[in-house]
Amino acid sequence: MREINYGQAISEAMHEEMVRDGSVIILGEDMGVMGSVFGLTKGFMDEFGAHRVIDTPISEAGFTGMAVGAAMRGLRPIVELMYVDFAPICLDPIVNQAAKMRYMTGGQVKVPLVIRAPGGAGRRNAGQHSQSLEALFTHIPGLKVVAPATPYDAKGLLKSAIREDDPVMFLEHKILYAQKGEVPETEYLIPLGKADVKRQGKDVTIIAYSRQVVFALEAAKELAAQGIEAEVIDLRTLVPLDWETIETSVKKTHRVVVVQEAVKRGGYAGEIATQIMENAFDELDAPVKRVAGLNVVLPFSPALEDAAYPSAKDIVAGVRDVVK
Amino acid sequence: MATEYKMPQLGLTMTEGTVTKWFKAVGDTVAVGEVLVEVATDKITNQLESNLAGVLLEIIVDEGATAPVQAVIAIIGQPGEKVATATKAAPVVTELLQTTAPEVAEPRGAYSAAVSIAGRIKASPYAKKLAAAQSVDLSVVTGTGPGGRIVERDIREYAMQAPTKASPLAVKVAAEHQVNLAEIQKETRIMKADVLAAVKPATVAKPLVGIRKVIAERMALSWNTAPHVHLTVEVDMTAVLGLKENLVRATGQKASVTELVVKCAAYALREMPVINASLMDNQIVMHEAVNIGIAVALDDGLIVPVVRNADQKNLSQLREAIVSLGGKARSGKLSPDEISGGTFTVTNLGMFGTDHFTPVINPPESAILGVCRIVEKPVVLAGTIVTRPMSNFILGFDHRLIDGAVGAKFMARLRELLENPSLLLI
Repeated sequence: MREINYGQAISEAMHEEMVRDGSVIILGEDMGVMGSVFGLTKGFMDEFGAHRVIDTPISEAGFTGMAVGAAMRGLRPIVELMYVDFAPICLDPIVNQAAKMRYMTGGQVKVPLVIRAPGGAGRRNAGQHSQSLEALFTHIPGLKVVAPATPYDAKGLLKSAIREDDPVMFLEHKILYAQKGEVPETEYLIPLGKADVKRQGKDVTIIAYSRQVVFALEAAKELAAQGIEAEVIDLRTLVPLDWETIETSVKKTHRVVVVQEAVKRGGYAGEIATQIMENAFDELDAPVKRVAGLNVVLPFSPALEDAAYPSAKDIVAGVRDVVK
Repeated sequence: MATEYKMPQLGLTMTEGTVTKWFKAVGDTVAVGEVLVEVATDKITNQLESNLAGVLLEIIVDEGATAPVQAVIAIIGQPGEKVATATKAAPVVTELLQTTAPEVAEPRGAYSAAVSIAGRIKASPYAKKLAAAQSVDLSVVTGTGPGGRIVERDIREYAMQAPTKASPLAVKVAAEHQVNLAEIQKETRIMKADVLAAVKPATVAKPLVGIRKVIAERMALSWNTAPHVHLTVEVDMTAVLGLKENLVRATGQKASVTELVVKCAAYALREMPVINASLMDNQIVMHEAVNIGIAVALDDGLIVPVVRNADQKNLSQLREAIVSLGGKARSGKLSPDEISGGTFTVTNLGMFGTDHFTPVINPPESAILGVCRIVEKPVVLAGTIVTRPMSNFILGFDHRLIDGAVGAKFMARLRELLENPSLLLI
């Protein structure tokens, strides 16, 4: 099968959906003429016109709010926040408008909006351009949250997200853009809310998403060399959470490590760990372990940045903690 | 300020202690490190030093009384200080003896936590679930997880050793009858019937009567009155065995080592009368006759018929007497005369393969000779290792009457005679 990178997969997903559905539009900074800072929409403006690929000023709160309105009126906007770090500036349209509208109108109004936002550390982009902010969105009822780890999943999930009638936070990882993987040329969709067991194992379950899936698989390889067979679950979608896949795995391994790049305090890993303890307590043979970023502002210094978020080594250590 | 002095926990398993002695009286000054009280547990008696300084204001648990761990047993404070009525908990303590430690500790605040932690079994939720499913009692499983936590593998390993499964009723019945399920060998699920089949017969008590009663009384009397010393010598039996063969060849009759041993013992006893004596009514009674009792094991006990004047009998007469008395003993036809008047006893456990034992003196005698099996052993003779038929002889004697050196001399002489039986001819 052909291999393309994660960025190309996202680009293909948007392209295919724009071809398929004339109501799909793109808004964001440098999305048109420049084709986005990561080159994901190159040629889109020429192909689909400036009315469907809209270059916005640096005004996240403004164009996100505009997209919410457009979605309410029947379009299917894809908004790109150049960095997820800019999401806090447009929390009102996301949290108070997009997430609430369908419920508060008794289902009369839908908000089929996708907000794409690359996040994550590792590019020496410092504290304001490196965060993983998924916990802000997983906390808000009415939002769906997706965080793919592979090109294949990114494409299939983005296409589903665009077709989704509720607002979707589509959280990409900037380090993953260059990551290559097999992606079929024929069309496919991956439903939201379905996790993927990326590796089978019997001794411990590692639950991860986004870039940490890559590290988790690396860690699993090292652990296998140490005689520990880790099962790696790629959540792919954070909300809605695929509890069934988690429960099946916990019942098999009885030991769980939840991994997130985001800072540990108040993170989504804690939510998953708690759900496991609440709903599968009797299956646990060890306390659920979180492997997560340090509770710090991400540093610019490469040495410090690398130490601030989990690597495969940290996951191995976390697993050894629960397999004692 | 008055401070409570509490019953300490002197070991992991200690739940209560008995005050056996107070070294201080109420009003006495107590210093830190001074011995204050003696406490006995089911294992050991400890003298406890005070960790408080002041005056012993009140003893709450008196000598001989028992109190749970962490119960207040005394109050120590300043001279003249009034003890708050709240601390006067004497009746409570007595009452609490009936209950278990955690319940006792509860009203005493800070201690309840520690006690209940000690009683809690640390197991992972999954281990508990597995244990319940497999009817494994967590209290018998050793935890190998962090901090001794019982984890999945511990249950699985335990279940591998123990029977795989038992019905809940079987588990209950097993607990009632104190049957260890692990000892029931069964491939399939253990049911109530299996447990009942494994119930060991209850202890049976029967009255202590007859010969057993006599033996019990005499052995207890001997052991309790005569300080026993046991001396062992190893004897080369080559000459005795050779003599025995010669006798068989010469007389055409059977012979045994027993009469040779009795002969040698009688000879040595004649030479050393103090071994052939009795301590009776504060008198040392030297016996003129050498009457040697021969211990004979019966199905229901032991009897010691006596060969009279053993020193005056030749080997054939000795053999005849021993065989005859043994037969009568086994058929229960011994007369009272034949089982009294002994001055020394020979007891032989060699036929059971015994290599050493410590025979108990048959009162009012003062000594007893234990005979062991003859076994080929490597010994050094003239710088060369050779094998020889060797046997251990043990003299058990009453140290009130016989000194160690005397006993040792007797045994040296006995060995000399056994190894050179021709000396008997002198």
